[in-house]
Amino acid sequence: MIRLRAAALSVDDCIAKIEAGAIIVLVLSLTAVTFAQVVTRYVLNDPLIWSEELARYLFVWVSMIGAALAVRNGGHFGLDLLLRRMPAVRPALGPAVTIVTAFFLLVLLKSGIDETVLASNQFAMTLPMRMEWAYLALPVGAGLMLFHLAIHVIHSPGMHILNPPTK
Amino acid sequence: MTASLALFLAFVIAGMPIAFALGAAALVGLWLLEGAPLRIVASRTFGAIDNFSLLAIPFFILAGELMETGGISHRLVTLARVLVGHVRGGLGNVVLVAMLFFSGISGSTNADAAAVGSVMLPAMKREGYNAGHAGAIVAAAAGMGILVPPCLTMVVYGSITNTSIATLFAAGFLPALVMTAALMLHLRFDALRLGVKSEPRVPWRERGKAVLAAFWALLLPVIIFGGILGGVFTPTEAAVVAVIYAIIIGMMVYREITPSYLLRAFVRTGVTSGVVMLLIGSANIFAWLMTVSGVPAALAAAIVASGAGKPLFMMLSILVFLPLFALLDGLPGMLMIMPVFVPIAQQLGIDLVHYGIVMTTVMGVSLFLPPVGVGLYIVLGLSGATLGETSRYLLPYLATMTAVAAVIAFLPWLVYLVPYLFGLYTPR
Repeated sequence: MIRLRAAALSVDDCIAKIEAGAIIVLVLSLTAVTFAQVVTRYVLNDPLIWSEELARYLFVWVSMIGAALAVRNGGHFGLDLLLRRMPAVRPALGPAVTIVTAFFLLVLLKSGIDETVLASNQFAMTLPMRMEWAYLALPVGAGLMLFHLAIHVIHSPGMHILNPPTK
Repeated sequence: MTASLALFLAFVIAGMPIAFALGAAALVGLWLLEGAPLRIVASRTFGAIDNFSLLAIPFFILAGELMETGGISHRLVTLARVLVGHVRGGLGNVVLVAMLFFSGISGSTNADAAAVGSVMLPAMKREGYNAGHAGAIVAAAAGMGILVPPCLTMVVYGSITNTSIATLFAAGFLPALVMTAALMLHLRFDALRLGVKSEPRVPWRERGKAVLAAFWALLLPVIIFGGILGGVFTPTEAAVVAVIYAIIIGMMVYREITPSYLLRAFVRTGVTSGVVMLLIGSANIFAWLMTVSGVPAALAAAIVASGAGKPLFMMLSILVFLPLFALLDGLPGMLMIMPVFVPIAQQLGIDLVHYGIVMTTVMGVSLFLPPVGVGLYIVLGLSGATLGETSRYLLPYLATMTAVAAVIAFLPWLVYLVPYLFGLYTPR
């Protein structure tokens, strides 16, 4: 059991590193593409037509993966007033909050997959790609958030999602 | 609709992150609304994030991360000190002016509080300020700083209400200066009462030196606002130019940004943007539900029919926003209340630029409102003073700031003047 937990946590670390790497690449491309748009418009006077659409889709990816990494770090905004004032309710509320959150994420995952499938026969406006590559960010993000949430539960079942795991 | 709202409140009180609480509560509403397809969840989330205006958010966050290195904070604070350190009220005025500079670079109020606070609080304590008093001044100044563009709150408000973000930015300038003047006056009274010393006047030669040292940092807001107000850049484009500028200055001129610092800044930017965007996505599902339910429209009609005019509604807005934004960390509170309050404001004929600036002003107060404001806890962490000790000094400042918010609510030309001068606003 203990060995299983340790394995789960090391997988979690590994996934988090991959997410951080993906965010670096995405933010870098996002900056480069948008800056290229500014340069081509104001300096070369020959604006790119595809840069804005590409930047928007990269932004959807950054947002979903960033939100996933934030689940791991306990970085999402929330009200911890009650938890701080009444520590006694913690063990009861932790699991309840986790279950409702997981339910929402499952729906986001399911509807994200549906949208992605629907978008697979739809082309982007200015890019030579199908829209499924943009929509795919939703199920991937929701899946990663569910994964980190599950690790929270394995790590300490009574723990609250607002607090980052302590090693 | 009512069920969703009640559930949302229950989830939030139970400590569920607000983004998930909004989404989960909306799901229940969708389920009750038979025939509403679940696809709405994904399509509304995607639709909210897939927006070029909101792309300004990660860029302004990143530019702020890159400009808030120790060296730049020190240079801007030194500049503020030689400019206004001698004015009665002493270091308090320095904090305010440094915050004006800083907020002009960064779009995040919490980051401003941390950057200016980490330099000024030790200096103020050395000069004999009580830690609670010093923290209160930093908190009040950071609350003022939210009005100085670039401001993430304005980006979000503008993109959701379809109000020009450039106009909102321009509209924030004069209220920021009025707020600064009001707080300086307040500090002056404090100085007379508490016997706070001012610093000796600094010769012009030294002021010139401080300006030169801070020159590259100060050029950034000039580029951003020159570009946006002159109609050259969209706010998103100005934000990306700010990022590139910050990278060049940080790596080549001030030499404080190392490649590994840059990579960490990228990751932090991605995570912060993710948190904000997921929130905007879930709020968009919730907003859809509200609109479909027809409750906001009915409420708006009822308020208009009741004969309550603009002034009453403005007062009501301020009274509702103040505690709500404090409890829900600012932005989430705003996203939640907008689908209800903005249609009413429109029905009453309140200009949405004016309404947005009033909302932003109140948020500056709320973020530091004891005992829950998130910004306040950042300042407490830096000052080491207790909540009670800081609140004793802070509450009078927050009262002054709320009074200024009311003044802005009743004198709309304070908001319109600058946008009008730059041709971004035409009076009706």
